[in-house]
Amino acid sequence: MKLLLATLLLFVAIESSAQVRLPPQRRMKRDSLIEHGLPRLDPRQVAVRSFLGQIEHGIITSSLTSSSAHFASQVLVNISGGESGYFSSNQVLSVLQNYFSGRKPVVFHFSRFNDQGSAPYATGRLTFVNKGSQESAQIYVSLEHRDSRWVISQFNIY
Amino acid sequence: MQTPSFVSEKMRRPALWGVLISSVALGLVFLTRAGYGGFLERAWGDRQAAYRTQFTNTVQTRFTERVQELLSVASEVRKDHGLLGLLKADTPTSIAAAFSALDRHRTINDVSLDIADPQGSVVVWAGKSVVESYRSIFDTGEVDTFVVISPAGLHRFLSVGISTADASAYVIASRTVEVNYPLSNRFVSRSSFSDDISGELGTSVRLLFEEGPPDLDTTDTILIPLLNLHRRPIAYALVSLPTLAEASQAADGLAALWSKIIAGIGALLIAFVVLTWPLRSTTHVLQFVLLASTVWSVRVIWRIVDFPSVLVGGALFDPAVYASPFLFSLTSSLGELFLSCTAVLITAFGLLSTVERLYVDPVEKDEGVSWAKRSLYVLLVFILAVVLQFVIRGYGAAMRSFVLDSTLRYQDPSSLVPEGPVVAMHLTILILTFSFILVVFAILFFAARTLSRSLPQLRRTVLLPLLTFIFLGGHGVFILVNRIPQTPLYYPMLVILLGVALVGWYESRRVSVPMATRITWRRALFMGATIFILSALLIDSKLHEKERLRVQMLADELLRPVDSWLSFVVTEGIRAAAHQPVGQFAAAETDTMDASNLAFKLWAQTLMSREGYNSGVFIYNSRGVEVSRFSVGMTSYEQVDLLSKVFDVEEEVLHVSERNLPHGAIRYYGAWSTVRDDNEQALGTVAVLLSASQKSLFRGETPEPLRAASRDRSETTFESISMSEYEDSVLVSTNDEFLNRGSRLPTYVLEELRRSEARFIWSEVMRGNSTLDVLFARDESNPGRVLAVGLKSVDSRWRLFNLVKMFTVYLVFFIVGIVTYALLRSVRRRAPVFGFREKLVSSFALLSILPLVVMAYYNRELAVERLNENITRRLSEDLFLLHQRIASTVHDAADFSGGVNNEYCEILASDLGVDFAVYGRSRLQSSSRPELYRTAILDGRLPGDAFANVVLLQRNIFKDTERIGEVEYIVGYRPIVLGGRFVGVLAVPALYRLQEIDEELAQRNAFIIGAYALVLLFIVAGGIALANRLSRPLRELSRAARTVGAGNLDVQVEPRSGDEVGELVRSFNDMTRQLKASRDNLARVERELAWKEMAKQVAHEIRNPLTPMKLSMQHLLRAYRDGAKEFGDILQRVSQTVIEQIETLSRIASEFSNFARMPERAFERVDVNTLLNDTLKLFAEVGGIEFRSRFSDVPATLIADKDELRRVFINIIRNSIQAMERGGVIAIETEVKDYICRVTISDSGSGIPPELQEKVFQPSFSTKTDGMGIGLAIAQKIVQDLDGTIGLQSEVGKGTTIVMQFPLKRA
Repeated sequence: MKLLLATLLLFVAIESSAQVRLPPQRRMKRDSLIEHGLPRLDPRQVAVRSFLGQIEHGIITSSLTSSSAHFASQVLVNISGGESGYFSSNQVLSVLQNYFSGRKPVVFHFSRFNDQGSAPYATGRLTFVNKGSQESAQIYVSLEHRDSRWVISQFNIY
Repeated sequence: MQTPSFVSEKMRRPALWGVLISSVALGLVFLTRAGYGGFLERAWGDRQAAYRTQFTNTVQTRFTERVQELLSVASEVRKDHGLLGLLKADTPTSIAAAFSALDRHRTINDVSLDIADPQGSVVVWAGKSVVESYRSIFDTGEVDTFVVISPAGLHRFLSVGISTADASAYVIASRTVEVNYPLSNRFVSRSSFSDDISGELGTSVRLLFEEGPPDLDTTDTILIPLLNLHRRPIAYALVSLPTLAEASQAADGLAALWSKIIAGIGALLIAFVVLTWPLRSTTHVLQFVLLASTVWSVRVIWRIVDFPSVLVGGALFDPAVYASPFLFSLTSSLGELFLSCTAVLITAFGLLSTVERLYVDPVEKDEGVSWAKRSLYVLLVFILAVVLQFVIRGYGAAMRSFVLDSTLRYQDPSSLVPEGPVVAMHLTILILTFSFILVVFAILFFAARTLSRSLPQLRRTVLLPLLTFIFLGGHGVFILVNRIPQTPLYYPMLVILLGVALVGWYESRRVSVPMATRITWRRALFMGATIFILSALLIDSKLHEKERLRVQMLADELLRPVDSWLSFVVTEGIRAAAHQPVGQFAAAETDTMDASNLAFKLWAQTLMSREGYNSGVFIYNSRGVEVSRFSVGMTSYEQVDLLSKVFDVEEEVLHVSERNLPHGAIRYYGAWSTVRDDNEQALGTVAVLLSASQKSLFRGETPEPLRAASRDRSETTFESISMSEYEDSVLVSTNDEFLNRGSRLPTYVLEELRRSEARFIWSEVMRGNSTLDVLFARDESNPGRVLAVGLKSVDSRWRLFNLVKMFTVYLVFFIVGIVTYALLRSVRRRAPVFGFREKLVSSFALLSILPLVVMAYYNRELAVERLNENITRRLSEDLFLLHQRIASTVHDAADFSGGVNNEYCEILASDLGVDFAVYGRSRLQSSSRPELYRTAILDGRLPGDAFANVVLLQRNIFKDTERIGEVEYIVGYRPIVLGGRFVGVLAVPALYRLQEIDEELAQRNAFIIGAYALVLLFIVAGGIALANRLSRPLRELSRAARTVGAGNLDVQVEPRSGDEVGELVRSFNDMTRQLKASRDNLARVERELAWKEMAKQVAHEIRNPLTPMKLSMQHLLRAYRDGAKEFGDILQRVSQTVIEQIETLSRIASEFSNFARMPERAFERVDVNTLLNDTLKLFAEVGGIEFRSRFSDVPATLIADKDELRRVFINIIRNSIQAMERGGVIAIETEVKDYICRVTISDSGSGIPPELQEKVFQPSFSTKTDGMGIGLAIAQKIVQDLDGTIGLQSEVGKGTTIVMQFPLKRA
């Protein structure tokens, strides 16, 4: 009985430390942003575009908010008519989930992006269904390089 | 199974009913929804028609109501003959009085009232201006009563006018019907008719003001005419009709809502049923597992069905307040976090209770455990040491999340009372910390008991230090493997020491757990203080970590060469501004009004205006001449300087420049583009500028703390940040007063930055008398550049204020909790929680708080009064200074009209540091902040009261409180007199000084609250000492009374004073002495009586056998003398009789010996059930008696002398047998409840008459012919020696029941 109890305690303790586990590294994948026939890109540009592709895919499939690994430790979020301010990577997941919970994405792709400089960004128009009617909003995403990977540092919806 | 103590078995039946009702209700909801879809589709046509009718009626009715409302207000003014008389008098004084009188009629806040003459000129007004002149309306011919909608800047007003009886004037009441402002903030109220209607109908409503009905009536929209008093349409409302999809979705939403509510309640009821269901043969661990799984199942179900967030919304369930993905989204908001922590608390209680029940008797030493098992136990203790570290780490991670994953302002210095969400978070922290303490205690308690079992020779004085050593050792090992510690280094040690102290206290006091069963206010206070200390330490540490994070972000921002977002905003801005309809540009060439508004319109459509940045749009015609400009938050000089740089770069290429200001560098972004028509002909040029400084007034928010660092107010009351820049290790710029230009960067910093891969390093640096937390950041684009951003510790009084606020929140929780608990105990008629001493302390504290509260209130009022006086004094000084400067540069009215323009005002405002506006009689002439008037944030007409006092009554100074949106501010006015002639009015708004008032009050609150808290602390401490002193004699008296009640009359209390209490003590002592003497006397008499009685009894009993002995011997002697032939038989018979009687005498002597002596007892663990079972076997051969037994499931183990206890049972059973001469039933039952074993032995004998029932336990009493009648007396003595009780219930003819209660050994 005591061993069972100790095992239970161990289980609880391990679960309680789950929050501080490092997020799993996702494999980067090539995506539609890397167009064929264009001049050769440097590895940095490739990485940026690849990550932007992941974001694009994540927004359409509503999987962007499945992990805080996509976001910087502090993210500036600006939602027109909604939240505005700096949020932690954990909090931004719920903020965006809350936004997308009533808005089912239909179409989205980054129409403009800038993969140069230390803070590349991309913007695109999202079409979604809200309460039965189709609406749209513009999404702006800015990236920064942290701990050898790209993360989202700003996420605006206007 | 014993159900948990907080779930009463009585709840089972109502819970079952609840589950049934919930299931039925859920089924009904699903069936209704399934059927409703089809019904909706079939009836949609009729439904839509109904919507049309309903919406039309509602819109027209509401509009008519608004018109009638305005008409009513205007009519009230019209009936005010006093007011009209004042107008007719037409003197400055009477007109001034008319202004006041008219203002009193503004019963609705946003109503504007104008009184116009027959020419349409407004002569008296109150509220916002609508139009400059009503002439155009009067020209339409509807002059008696009219209803019009007219544009006024970004608003549209509904105006209702009515002429006076003699048609000498017109009263017009107006109210906003539509607001076309791009932003909605606290400065611009969006309250309008269209918004109100939209909210009421639940659909979008747009107002159209075209001539003639537009052709927009479709299946999805309805065009509703808005009618004036003559039933003619003056505008149209385009209302969107709900679609079938929307209606269906709404029905789905409603069904989902009800399903979630029913499911949530049902889950809770099922949990009650499960927890109250009687399950036999379950161990304590399984009971705990059942409790934990039930609680968490309910928790998970509630999360899945979003209960109770569907009922309770707001900040509690807003992820922007707090959110974390921890624990599978069970902490996705503050409300969810609270519920999860409550579940943790229940689990922790269950865990502690289970651990306690596993070890009932701390005295027992298991001597027979093998060495292998002992080793295993010791290993288990070491494992528990590591487990505890994980628990502490988990708690630290949770606290870190509470701070870093939330936007709550834990240490908001500006508010006296924390906000609701902050209080909710503190309550959550309290619950989690309490759970944490319980779990730590459970682990340490478990470890202590395991250790004492495996090493039975360990004494308690050695056990606790050994336990401490093992667990601190575990902490030491954990440090080596813990890569990212979640708590400060000392924290786990503190927790371990605290936990061990609790275990030691628990063991020494033999307190029962869980603590909820026996809460005293002292224990609650101790626990509350422990919770506060443990949580406050961590919260403070995490807040410091968050501060550092903010500073890091600031440094990052400052080091970034270009902000991508701002770049994007500007490029989007130029794109939006340059691609406007060509017609607007063409119109701007010819129409001055269109030209002046064009830049503003373009600006209002850009992202930078929506985001509230200091920015501007500048438009030039094809000849390069500026035709329109609009800017916010940038001076003319800045605009000129930046535009020249922007036009130096290519078209549509972003230009970024930096300007060094005393408080730091500010970046500016700009771009320009050519506007072309469809034939690619250039129509003109548009340029866009944006400043990266504080977001402008239009956003309506308080400045972001980060950006505040780069503003001129880099040192605020609440925190101060210093910034220094090093180039090649030499200081080139700084706002730190302790550093000189040319100072060198510390060598260790340079080396660390070179060596380390990280861009940032933190270091503590001494500055004067304080320590600065400084972040050194390397610029990756410029390796020689290092930025140092320092966070200075705030004043200790601020820290004390925040600590006091947090402590007050916990204290309120504590008081609410203890009062609730006391009320519950009072309702259940249990012993009170508060003793005399506690009541004394509470009274002292309450009496001391009252004067403090009164003082605090008056102090605040005085502070507000002084601050307002200060502000009005400064306003007066500013007005004087401005007037002096104007008078020195402007000489006459012509100069004034031509020269005092916006640019003049801006330059003067910049020189003097004061914004102001200038009115030419009643209309705005110019201002240092023209954008505030252009965008209708401030009204371009002089307020009525100001006009009346300054222009008409010629007062030198007039101050008034005005309001824009939700913001109230003071404005000062004075006349501008040049060359002895009045030329205009000068107005200085104190808009920005509101923040100064707030900060000043906050500072006063902070510093004074700290002082008040210290005073209160002294009062409470003194009160406790005084209460102890006053209540000590009463406590001693109470203890002595209890001792006397227990039978000890030797106790005496020392009288410490000569007052009433001392007199009471002396009386008590006298009473006990008398009682003792009386008892001694009584005991002596009783003993004598008892001895006499016993002697009589002994004599009587002895006489019984002696008589037959004597007779027998006499008969033998006679037979011997007579020489009887059967002498041998006689001898045999007599010998037999004598021997029997001797045995009787011997038995009598033994029984008395047993009663009198105190035999040595052999104590051991005795299972009552087993003993009774064995005893019954002794009577197995007894005929005619049926034995029925029912023993408890729970073992009833006593520490007793087995033989003695057996004799008790034998005695009672034998008495029962003897009472049933013709046979019967003897029933034996045992029950264990609340650590009491109850043994009941019943028979169906003749019973004992009531008058004899009292005597059965007396040693001399017996209803039998043989025996001494001391069996029950002996039984009573034995039971009482075991701290038990024995009682009797009997009814003549029915039988007798003996009830014994034994306390079971509790830990």
